[in-house]
Amino acid sequence: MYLFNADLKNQLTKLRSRKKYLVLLIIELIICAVWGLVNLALGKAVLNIGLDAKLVLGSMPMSLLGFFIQVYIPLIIFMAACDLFAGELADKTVRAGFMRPVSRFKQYLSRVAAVMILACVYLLVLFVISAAYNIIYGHTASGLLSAFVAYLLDAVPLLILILFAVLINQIAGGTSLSILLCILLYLGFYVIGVLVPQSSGMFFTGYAQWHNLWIGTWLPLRAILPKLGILIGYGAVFGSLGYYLYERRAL
Amino acid sequence: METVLDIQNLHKVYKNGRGVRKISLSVAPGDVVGLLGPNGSGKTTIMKCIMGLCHGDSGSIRIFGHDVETDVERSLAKVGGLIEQPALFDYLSARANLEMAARYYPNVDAARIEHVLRMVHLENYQKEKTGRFSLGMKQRMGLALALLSEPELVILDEPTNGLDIEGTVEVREIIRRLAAERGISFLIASHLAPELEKCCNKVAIIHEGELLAFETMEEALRLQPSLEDYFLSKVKEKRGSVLI
Repeated sequence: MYLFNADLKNQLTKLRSRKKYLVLLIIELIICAVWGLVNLALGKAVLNIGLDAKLVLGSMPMSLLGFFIQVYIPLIIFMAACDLFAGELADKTVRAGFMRPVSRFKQYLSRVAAVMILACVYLLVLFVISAAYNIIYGHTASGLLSAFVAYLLDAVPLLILILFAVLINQIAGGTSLSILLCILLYLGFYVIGVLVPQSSGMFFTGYAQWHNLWIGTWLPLRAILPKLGILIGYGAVFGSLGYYLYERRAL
Repeated sequence: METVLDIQNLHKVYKNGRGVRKISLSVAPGDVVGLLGPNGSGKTTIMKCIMGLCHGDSGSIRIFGHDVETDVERSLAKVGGLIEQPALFDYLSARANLEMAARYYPNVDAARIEHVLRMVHLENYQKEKTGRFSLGMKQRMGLALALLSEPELVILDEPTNGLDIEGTVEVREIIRRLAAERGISFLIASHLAPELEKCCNKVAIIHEGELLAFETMEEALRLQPSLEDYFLSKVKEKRGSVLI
């Protein structure tokens, strides 16, 4: 565990040292602020016709989640996976870990964990800002608990997306090609899922907002289990293939 | 006495036909073994296999009795290495690079980082990003990273690459001192015979992926006037035997 923690700290140090992630976090804050202001303006407008502003602002954490979980955070994940895998394999800095007494399995896990932590930071900031808007301007805290649970649940498909991005990084090799392939494949799966709704359940991209399965209307366990199985299956395939390629990598 | 490094029948051939064939050699505590061979002879391949950067096709490598292939954590616990260019993160400072490497070793603290920085004369540049370092400074950083954990076996591939005359002499002195005072073992690859002659007590001659000789420096210099001559005589012997 000591070596895993050491390697995880190193991966997080590398991500923290890259200023782009801070810039992207600031952009996220700006998007949240603008979104909130627009909601606020809408709230005032509907107040004039006799509706409660809480109705408009009360859904802010959930309405923001949809955009960020499907567009913004996947892009961050692709970038971070590219920095920690394809980028380091290309400039051979991955050797800094390979030449230390830590197994490649622990290195692989710590890199995946570092990208996951980064994604969770973005999710957490998003939740805090949107919840703050809710409380300050909407004067309501109702629905925040279920929104928090939704954020937690939606972090699970992100892990599958990270394993997918890591696998693509191992296969593609180059940094530009890796990020391009990640985006194109993600977009491709997503578009197919939209154009052919029956197939969306077959692709991991169709589970981006899978909190809908768990909260709100309760689905029977029989309906949830196959979906859970598909997600675990994707995770097992992406994870084991990605690790195998990482383990066999010669530098 | 426990063998520090034991390589048995290491075989690793790349798709282009280059690599190493059935290499066996061992390093005892305090040994400074030179791996002498021309460019492309397989020196770096051996070192990469030792450090777990690539996997051999067959054969075994044991460091302090632990197999590199199956137990990388124990086998590399007391090993430091510099293979080809040092693995430096250009966007991090020299100190941050060392701090990251230090995390893998519970015994390496801030004082040790200071010590290795002083050892390679980079203490005044520790806050500078390594991306701005010259080739020589990067090589010094590579050496600092290799020695950081106070290893008992150090693997160095062309350690004086990019260093000036003073730097080259200093590296040689560091190797001699650590071997003599602390009993640290070194395996040093180079294509420069005079460099190895000055700091090694054993030499392995590698040519076209084959180990032509593994001898004490004393014996090699008894047989030939210089290590260069010894190397040439071994290559000639090989070519002669091929012709016959």
